[in-house]
Amino acid sequence: MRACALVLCGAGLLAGCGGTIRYPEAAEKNLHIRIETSSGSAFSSVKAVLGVHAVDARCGLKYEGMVALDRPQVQVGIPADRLSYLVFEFASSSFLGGSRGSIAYETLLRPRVGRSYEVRVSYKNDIYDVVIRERGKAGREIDRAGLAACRRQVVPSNSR
Amino acid sequence: MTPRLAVLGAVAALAGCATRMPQTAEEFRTMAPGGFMIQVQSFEVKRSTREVGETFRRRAPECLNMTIRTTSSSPGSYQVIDAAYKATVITRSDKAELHLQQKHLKGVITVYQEPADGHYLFVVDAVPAGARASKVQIIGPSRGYDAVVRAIKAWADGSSTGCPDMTKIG
Repeated sequence: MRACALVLCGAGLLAGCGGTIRYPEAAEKNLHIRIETSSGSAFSSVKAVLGVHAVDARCGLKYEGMVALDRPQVQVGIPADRLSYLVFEFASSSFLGGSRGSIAYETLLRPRVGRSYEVRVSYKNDIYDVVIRERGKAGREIDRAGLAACRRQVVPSNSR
Repeated sequence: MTPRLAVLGAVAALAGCATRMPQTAEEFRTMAPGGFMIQVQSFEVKRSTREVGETFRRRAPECLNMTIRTTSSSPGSYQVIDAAYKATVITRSDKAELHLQQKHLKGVITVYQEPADGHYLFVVDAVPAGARASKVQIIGPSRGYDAVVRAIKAWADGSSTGCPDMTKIG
């Protein structure tokens, strides 16, 4: 239900409804996002956005804003050493038939102090993917973790 | 073809005009091939069955377990279909299986008795084909589920871990 609400929230944002909160610019940008989107058809389009939520001690969410992933590279500052819930949403629409749909990839992230992360976001031919790697020698991939992991106190600071 | 007609067509196809629907993955393997709009694809990948199974285990539940609402409207009608998808992955040393079931929660009347988690949409098997290779077989609908098939193939050959956009299927 919560995921559904998040998707609806994102859909509202994509629709350009009033009240859109832009995620604040941070001095230190620790998320380096590479975006590649293609609907695979001249008659449809896909847009990607990132919604950022703060996660409190009881795993409740507080919406902090959205970032349009409308350029090949976007940099975002996510508070370090604090749990955030990232919602990458892909909204597609077809010019013929007027169909619309959106699907989201959600994950918890607790960035480490002094570290930065490479995020690869792609949507191509109806296949979407989000891969988050901590920058560094090992380039370890960060596991996807839903809110259930927060409730189990299994926070994604472990590698795959 | 409207989503409902497509769904009903697939259900009829899976049933193979028989009197009952496959209740297990094994029954699906036996009954589905040869059915209307059913496709059986086999190919080899240069990965061990254990690796293929590990990717299925890691990706299938998080990519496929979800409920999707499809709406369609035309003059005089408005239709809402809710479908829940459930992926099951079974891994052994000599075989990896991925089953995808679809259960309609709203908007479609089920004609045949279904398994508790819905009718079988896909059954995928990977078995060893040499030292570090596997033979993969996908049994599923021949149309409407291209994204799912492409995702499963990519998981099997290790070329991508992307998820199919489940709002685009059916």
